[in-house]
Amino acid sequence: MMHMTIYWGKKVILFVDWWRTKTWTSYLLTLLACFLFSAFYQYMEGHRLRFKSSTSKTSSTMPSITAPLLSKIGRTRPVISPARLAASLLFGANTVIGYLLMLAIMSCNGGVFLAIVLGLSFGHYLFRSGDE
Amino acid sequence: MMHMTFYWGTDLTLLFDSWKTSSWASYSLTLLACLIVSAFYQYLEDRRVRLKIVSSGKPPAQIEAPLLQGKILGGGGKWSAARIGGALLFGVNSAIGYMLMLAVMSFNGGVFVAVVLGLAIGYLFFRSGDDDAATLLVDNPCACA
Repeated sequence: MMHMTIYWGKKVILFVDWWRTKTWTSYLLTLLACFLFSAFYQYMEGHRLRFKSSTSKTSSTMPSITAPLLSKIGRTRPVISPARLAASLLFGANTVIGYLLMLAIMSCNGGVFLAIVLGLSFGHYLFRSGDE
Repeated sequence: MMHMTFYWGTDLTLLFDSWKTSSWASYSLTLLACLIVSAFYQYLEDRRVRLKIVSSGKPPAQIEAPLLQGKILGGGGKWSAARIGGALLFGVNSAIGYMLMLAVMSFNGGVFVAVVLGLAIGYLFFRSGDDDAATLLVDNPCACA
């Protein structure tokens, strides 16, 4: 019924019963969707990490000669602050995307696997390799 | 036999043959368990990252006592307590992370929502308060990586 080993071919069922590809057109469109979705995941990750570092107060609490003990490792913001809520929402959204990509690869289709890996790499190049 | 597409419903077999739910009561308890384990995973991740930061002797000690760098908790040696503890925590969290992934693989919609919500809520409470840039690098949303 379902594949437990990697297989090649244009017949894939993805996530839901009605997402079935039989023709080359639908299969290639599905591969394109996987590729774009993976690149989008990297875009969201880059966005999330940049948002997190921009709302953090690291730059103002770096230790200096006059106040070396001011770098706090502990929690520095109350839980219900908008920045923390936004950071967690972005995190939640990316968790959904990440798990969906995992479930897509579980279809065991070789083309889907390649499309997702290539999309992740391409997205990483575009959106994340610029971070230090 | 096994679901390969998403489905909604209270009939679920989770991770073990003996963990079957059919009634709303057992299903809700299972969803609650998924939520709590996901949030707990974030708590452990936070512990692990903090242990790593503290044992690497970062900024607080630098100006005052430069020779103390790396000596906190003996984080310098190859078999120091901090490194072994860190690796143990990492192992435990890898196990929990993969179990969460396997749970999501049940393709049950409720489990998916419960795990994601648990991870997000745990992140909110245990991890999003960090202002240390070093913690950003280990921020991985998918618990199975």
